[in-house]
Amino acid sequence: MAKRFWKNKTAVGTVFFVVLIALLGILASWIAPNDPYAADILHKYESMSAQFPLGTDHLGRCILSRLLYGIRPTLGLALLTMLGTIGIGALMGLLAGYFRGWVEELIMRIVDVMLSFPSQVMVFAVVALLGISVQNVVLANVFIKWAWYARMIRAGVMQYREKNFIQFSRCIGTPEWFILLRHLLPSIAADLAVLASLDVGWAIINISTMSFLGLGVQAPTPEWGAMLNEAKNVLTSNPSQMIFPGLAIVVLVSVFNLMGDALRDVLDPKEVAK
Amino acid sequence: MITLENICVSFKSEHQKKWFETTRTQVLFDINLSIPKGSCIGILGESGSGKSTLGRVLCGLLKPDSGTITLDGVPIYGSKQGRKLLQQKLSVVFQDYTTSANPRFSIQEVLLEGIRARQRKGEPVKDLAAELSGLLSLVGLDDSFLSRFPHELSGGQLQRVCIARAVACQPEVILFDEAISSLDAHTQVQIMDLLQELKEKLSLTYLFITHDLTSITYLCDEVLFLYHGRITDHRPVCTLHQTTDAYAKKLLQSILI
Repeated sequence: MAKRFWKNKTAVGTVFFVVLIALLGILASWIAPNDPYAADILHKYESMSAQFPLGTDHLGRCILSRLLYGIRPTLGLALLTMLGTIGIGALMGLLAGYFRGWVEELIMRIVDVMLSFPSQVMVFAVVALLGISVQNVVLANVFIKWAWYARMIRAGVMQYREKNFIQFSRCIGTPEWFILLRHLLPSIAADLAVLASLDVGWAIINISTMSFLGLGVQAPTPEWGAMLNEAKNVLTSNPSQMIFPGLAIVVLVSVFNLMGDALRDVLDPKEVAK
Repeated sequence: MITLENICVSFKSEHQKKWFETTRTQVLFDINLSIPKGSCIGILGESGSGKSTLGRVLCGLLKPDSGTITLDGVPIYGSKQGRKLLQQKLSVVFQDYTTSANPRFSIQEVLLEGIRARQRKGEPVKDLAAELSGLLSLVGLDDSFLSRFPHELSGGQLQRVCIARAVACQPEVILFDEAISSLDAHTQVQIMDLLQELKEKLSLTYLFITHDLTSITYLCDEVLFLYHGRITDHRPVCTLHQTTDAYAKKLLQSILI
């Protein structure tokens, strides 16, 4: 596995990039050239300079520092959302796909109900119901999105369930936890990796959207979506304030999507056999 | 050892004529069969005759609509105890060796699953490494295979590993669901010789599901003809030429020509 990973340049590159971004976020307080909260109205809309590498925003705050500090809520919350959705989705999908019968009926009918609502509108509704805060955005995203993953993972499990090695295990009475954890979970790991990294991309966009609309991370905290929100008033007069957070979101989401594809190749043993 | 009485199996049809109707297609009709210990019975039939369904019923994966199947006098469907008994005594080798082993498992892990089944029976396994190489040498492979993965083996080698895995559980009955049909003629003979050897060494009972009459005459004592879900003939292999059944005759003729 490790050998296959190092051979795949896209996988190494994207994982390295994500780790780098995460490190930048963690070490933001040492790296950032300025205090992200320090407003200096006299230096607003300044262009790039040695003191403010990416210029300043409408309150004279350093955009680079705010971008670096913004990694924490953006990436952290997205990862948290991903863990929640994939965790619940994988558990439900595995149970529904493997045990069938009434377990499947129950889970899949709930999933059907969840899927019959437009997800974005439901996220708004849940946040409006629970109150505007970051935790509620994460909760709402997990609550709405798990059904998608449950359905996709169930399809994968059903495909492997009829495979001969599972039939053999059931026939000789291998314990159910062994079949689920050692046979089925690794078999769908490739699908899970793709879903997980696509999900992080989706969660970054979604959390940024919520912050942009003022429903997520609140004003002084630097978050990429919230930064876009602040920049939208000066879109024509000072476009650079919008370009950098926008670019950061696009790049990070694309990297996560690329990573999903690369990880699928790494985790699929047959790809290497060719 | 295993007795089947009036086994009937049906499946819900895909295309229902009316809404909410549940028309069922019957696949097996009134199967009666008794399998004595130490025998080798071939179940022969064309595609769609229900022989694989019968196999699934026998390994405890499909509950029949009616009828009873007992193992040493204990019914295997309906009670947990009977199911457990079957799991301890029966092992299976499948036709499609490409999906028979988890592609993410090394051969060692594949065999370990069988050995773990034996440990569950309460039999201690002291020396795992010796056990593994013993199993491999039993099917004519060497220790270098242990660290390999299924896709790195040829079809015949992988089928041997599957047989080793089936033997690793120390079963009393092994069910072969078209286990050798997909191999070439030369490998088939090799595997059948191997099976015969194992049968004598470990005093096993074999159940052979196949559409290939030649392999049955090579290996089995008794043959069972399955046609459209019914047993049409059941006789010892040596009296095969005396068959009175029309379907069996047709099958025999098609092979002799």
